This record gives sequence, structure tokens and C-alpha cells, in this order.
Amino acid sequence: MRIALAGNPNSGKTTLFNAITGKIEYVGNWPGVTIARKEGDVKKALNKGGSKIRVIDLPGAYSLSPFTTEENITSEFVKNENPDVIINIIDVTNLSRSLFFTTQLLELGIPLVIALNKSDLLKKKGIVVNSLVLEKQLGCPVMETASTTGSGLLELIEQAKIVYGKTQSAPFTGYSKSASGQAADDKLKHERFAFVNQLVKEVEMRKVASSKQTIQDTADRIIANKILGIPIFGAIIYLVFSLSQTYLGPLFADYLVGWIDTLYDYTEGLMGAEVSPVLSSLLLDGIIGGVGAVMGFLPLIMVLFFLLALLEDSGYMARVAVVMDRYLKKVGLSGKSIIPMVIGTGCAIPGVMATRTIRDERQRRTTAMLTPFMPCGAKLPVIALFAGVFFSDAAWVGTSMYFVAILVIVVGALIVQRITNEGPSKSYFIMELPDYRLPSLKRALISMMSRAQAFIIRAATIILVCNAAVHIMQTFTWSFQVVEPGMENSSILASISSPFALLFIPLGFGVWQLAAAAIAGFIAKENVIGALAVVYGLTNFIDTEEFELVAGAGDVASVMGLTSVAALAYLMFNLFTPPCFAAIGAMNAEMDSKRWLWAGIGFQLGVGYTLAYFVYQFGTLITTGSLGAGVIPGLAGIAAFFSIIAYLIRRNDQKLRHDLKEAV
Amino acid sequence: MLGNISTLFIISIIIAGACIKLFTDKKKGDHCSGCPYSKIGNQDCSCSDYLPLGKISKLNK
Repeated sequence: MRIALAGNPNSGKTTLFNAITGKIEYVGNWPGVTIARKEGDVKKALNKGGSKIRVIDLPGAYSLSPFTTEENITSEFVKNENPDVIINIIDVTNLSRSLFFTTQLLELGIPLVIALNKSDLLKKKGIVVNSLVLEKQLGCPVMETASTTGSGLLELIEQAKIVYGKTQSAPFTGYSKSASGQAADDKLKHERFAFVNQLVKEVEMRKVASSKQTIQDTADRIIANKILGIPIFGAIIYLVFSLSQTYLGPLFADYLVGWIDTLYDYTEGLMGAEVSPVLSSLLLDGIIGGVGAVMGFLPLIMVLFFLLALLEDSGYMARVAVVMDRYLKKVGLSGKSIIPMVIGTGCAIPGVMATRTIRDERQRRTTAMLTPFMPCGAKLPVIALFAGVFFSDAAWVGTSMYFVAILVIVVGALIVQRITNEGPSKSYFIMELPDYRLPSLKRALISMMSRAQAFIIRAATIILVCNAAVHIMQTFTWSFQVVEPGMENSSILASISSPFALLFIPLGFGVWQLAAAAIAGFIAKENVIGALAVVYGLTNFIDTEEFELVAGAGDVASVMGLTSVAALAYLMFNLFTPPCFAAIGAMNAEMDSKRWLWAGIGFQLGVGYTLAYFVYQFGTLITTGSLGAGVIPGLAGIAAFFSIIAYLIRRNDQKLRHDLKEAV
Repeated sequence: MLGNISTLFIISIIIAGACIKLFTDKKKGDHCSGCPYSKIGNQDCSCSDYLPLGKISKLNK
């Protein structure tokens, strides 16, 4: 038996899907989280008969006449793939909006069970729904459920089994159904709305009028305010970074780093002196040291992920979307562009994928180009490393990276708008704000553990392989001789990285070791840490006292040969240049244009380089009174980048004028 | 000598294991190993379990 879960956005479909299948799919307290269908089997505890029941979670839809791509997925599935039963999930606190879609689903003839979800909120909101009357009027079973607590799920599955194989009648019989054309369609919609409104009057009783201002409305006036919203967002992100990087994170990180050091020492002791230094160094410094350096950040980012999950679950991130929406619309992006960017803070790949909900091709491609600027989960350990070792765990480093990202996105969107010659577009994005709620610790823990597991797997696979490769390339020359002490510049790694290092002189990090780490970051951003650990022979970035033990350096800066300003420039270069290859692949798929893809990569490279250049040069000027090395060559490179942009803008302006003349 | 062989064997096992995991995940269609978003669906589908818009429009044509 195949059951399709269908319903309006943010009605709790994925939460219900997770509850009945035992899966851990990504859920968010805002509409539009699910953009593709997901499948799973009903878990044994809810499936008494034992026969296999397949459940398909579909993206949210308001109607069977699709307006967006994800609505199209839902519409196509229920119409063409013949599920045996449809479970229509309805947000019971928002009945009138949900039943429009229900009446359409009932017309398909497929047996339908209605899940009145979020029923646990009814009492709190002072709403009474007579499910028996609703059941009678609609002609299908109606069950009260609460997917967050698991209430009513067993009965829901049992009802689905009962209706399986039966026929379904439709209660709504609008007289315009037989007619065709736009006018008839509009009339049919009005009739359907009238039917739904009448039905809601019969079954629902609200003690509090929906038009009355609630505490939530008052809170939204402040939190989602166009002026106050931004400093509030800044303060919250600052708090999140402070807790994860300054207070809670390092507390746990010290233990983990201690264990990694113990493993290092134990392995070293086990090998003894008889093992070749090349092999022992590969195992100790390349594999254990490199992966260990990345793993040391696990507690910090676990705390960060936990806090971000709490924020998402509370409904706050949807407010951030509303605050940012008005700014993005002004620079020619769709109001929907904010959703991919918020998702991109977790991982750029699903963020880029989420751009598919944007209908306008130019806006979709622009959003796919700009979304990777948001600091994703893989970039967080890099931020933590630099904030920790160069800025004494200052929370402003991480916070400012989010604001720089937003600024880059806004300016980038403006530039693309000018290049593609589009005026400010009208975008009627209406985002339904979910209610604020006390975030679930369980959901935040699940989210945190899922991301932590991902982090560990990445450290044990792609980062391990890259670190081993970096170590081997650093150990041998091109003639495959072991590099002599003091002759590190003759290694394979040094010879590959050195030409790139020349380009980085104006940015303050023109040494091959840092260039090699930055290049490794294009495979996966966490690789920056692993590669730095390997090339500098460090295993522990958490306890900064270790730096003093390495190379006899008196401070952290001299180990890497970086000033704090250059370190900030290096961090910005790594954050704002193109994302990892996997995310570039997603950009390629969504943009569906090689020209846009290469333009996007070029733009990201130019932005990353420019930001790093100005941070280093101005920072050096402020801190030392003189500009850093390579001012003129760097400026020439940046001038070339902006000349190309200016040329493209000018070319399009001319084209526009030409088109206008022809039109006149 | 035995120590060298043992160490080389262990290193080979570790790197080969990581490569096999990467290869099998890639074969399953995952964009990247370990990505929590790759776990959408349970068989051959991944976070790329959809046709990009461009391909949809091409198919429609």
C-alpha cells in the first residue's frame, strides 16, 4: 500500500512523516522546507498488520492547480502516480485555508483520510473543531493528530488501512465545473471558497477572533520590524556565536582534543622508533593530526548547530526572512530568494537547490549564484579556527561574516540586475509566518546529531583522503625523493601552490602553505583546517598554547606568518570565494547555463579576492600606518575585475537605449 | 621491517576505506558523503532526487 502525505505548507507533513516512518528528515518551522518528495515505510510500532506500507511525503501545496515547481511535484504525483490512499494533513488551527485543497483532493476519487494536525494547540488557541460534523460533511474519516507528540498516529494509519481499496466521493459540487475558460475557473474558485467558508462556520468555534491582535502579533511588530529587525538578528547571532565559541563549545572541545592527543601519543608509542619516519609521519601528522584538527571543532559546531536548530524551531528564522525580503526585492531578487539563503546557512547545496521554487529564470540564477556566499556549516569550523586563534574567540568575527555575506548578496544582486538590464521587479511573495513556539529540545538534538554525524563522516572520508594527499605531496619531491629538512620549498605541494601564493601576496598570505590550504578548501571547506594542520605540523587548534611550542614562536601569528589583519583577510577569502565543488555542481544543475555558471564562479572569485584585498590593505594601514605588500598588482587585478563588470553594465545600457530607440 | 609493513597496511586500509565510502556514496547519487541532506529518500535518491528545472523544461519540450 502506498500512502501520499499531502497538505498545505507548514502543516507538519514532514514532522508527521518522520513520526510514522522513524526517519530524520529535515524539518523547519516555516513553509517551503520540503522541495522534493521523500519516501519511507511505516515503522512497526504503528503498523499492526505488518504488511509493508510505503509513505510518500510531498511538498506543501495550496491547490492542485500548481503555481510553483514544488506544488507541481505534489499535483503530478497525486494525479498521475495513483497512490492507494491520501492522508491530507491539515493545520487544524488554520482550517479555512486548508480545506480548499482538501475539496480538490476529494475529487480525485482516491480514498482520503484527514489528519487534523497540531490538535494539541487547539485548547491553547481557544478553538473547538467538531471533527464528527466535518467527517460527515466531507465523507471521509477525520482524525485528530499531533505529530510532535505522536498522538493519534496509530489510529491514522489504521484508518488508512480501512479506506484502502474503497472509492471516494466528493462533497463539493460546484455548478461551474462543466464550463471551461478563465471566467469559469474563477467562478469555480469562488464557489469552492464559499463552500469551505460555510463548512468552517459549521464545524469551528473560535473563542478568540482571528482578527484580534495577539501577543505574537505584537512581538512580530518588533522582531520583524524593518528597522529593528536587523539589529535584533545581529544580537541573536552574536549570542549564538558567543555561546558556541567562547563559553560552551571550548568547554567540551578541550576534552575531545585531549582524547585526540592521547590517541596520537598512543599510536606514536605503538609504532616505536623502528617504523620509517615517512610512514609514521603520514599516519600521525597526515591522518590522525589532520583529521584530529578538524574534529577538534566538533563540539563548537555542535553547540552552534543546536542553537541554530532552536532558533529555526522557534519560528524566528521565518521572521528573518520577512525582514530581509524587502531589501532583496529592492535589488531585483524574488521575495522567495531569502528561503534558499536561510537554508544555505546549513549547507549551500540544498540552499542552491531551493532556488527552484523561484519561477523567474533570471532571479533563480542570480539567487543560485549568491546563495553560496552565506556561511554554511562547513565554513563554521574555519570561522571558529580563525576567531579562536587570532581573535581570542571573539564572537564578532562569526557575526560579522553573516552581515558581510548579506551585504555581498545585496550588492551582488544589484550588479547582476544592472548587467542583465532588469528594472526593480514586482514580486508578490507572501510568506505565512508560523506561530512562535517553545523550541523542542528533542528536535534540536536530533538536528544537531544529524549534522554532527555528517561532520564526522566528512572528516573520516573526504578530509582524511585530502589530508593524506596533502601530506604525501608535502613529503616528496617531483622525483619522488623525500624532502630534506629545510628544503620544504622543493616539495610537490610547494611547487603547485607557489604560483597561487604569488597571487595572494596583495592579500597578506602569499606563502605556499596557506595557498595550498585555500586550494584544498575548494574540495570541502573544512579541508582548510586539515590542510593547515598538515602543512604546519599542528594537531590542536583549540589549545592555542600549542602554537608557542611549535617553531618556538612567541605568538600565534608567527607560526603561520600571519598578522591578525592578514588572518581576517584569509578567512574572508575562504568564505567568499566559490563554494566546494559539490555546491558548484548544484549551481550548474539549477542555473542550467554554462555562461551563468562561469560568470557566477568568476564573480565569486572576484568578490572573495576584492574583500580580502581591502581588509588586508586597509587593516594594515590602520594598524601599522602603511599599506601592505603588493598594493599595486592587487589593485590592478581588482581594477580588471571591476572593468569587466563596468563593461558588461555599459554594454547592456547601450542595448537598452538601442531597444528604446527602436521602440520609439 | 615488520613495523613498516604493518604501518603501511594500516594506512592503506584507512585510506582505501575512506575512498570506498566516497565511491559508494557517489554511486548512490549523494552529492557529498555525510551530508544530512543526502538522506532524502531511501534508495537511489539523494538530495539531488529531482530533475533540475532546466531538464524538466527540456523533457517537456
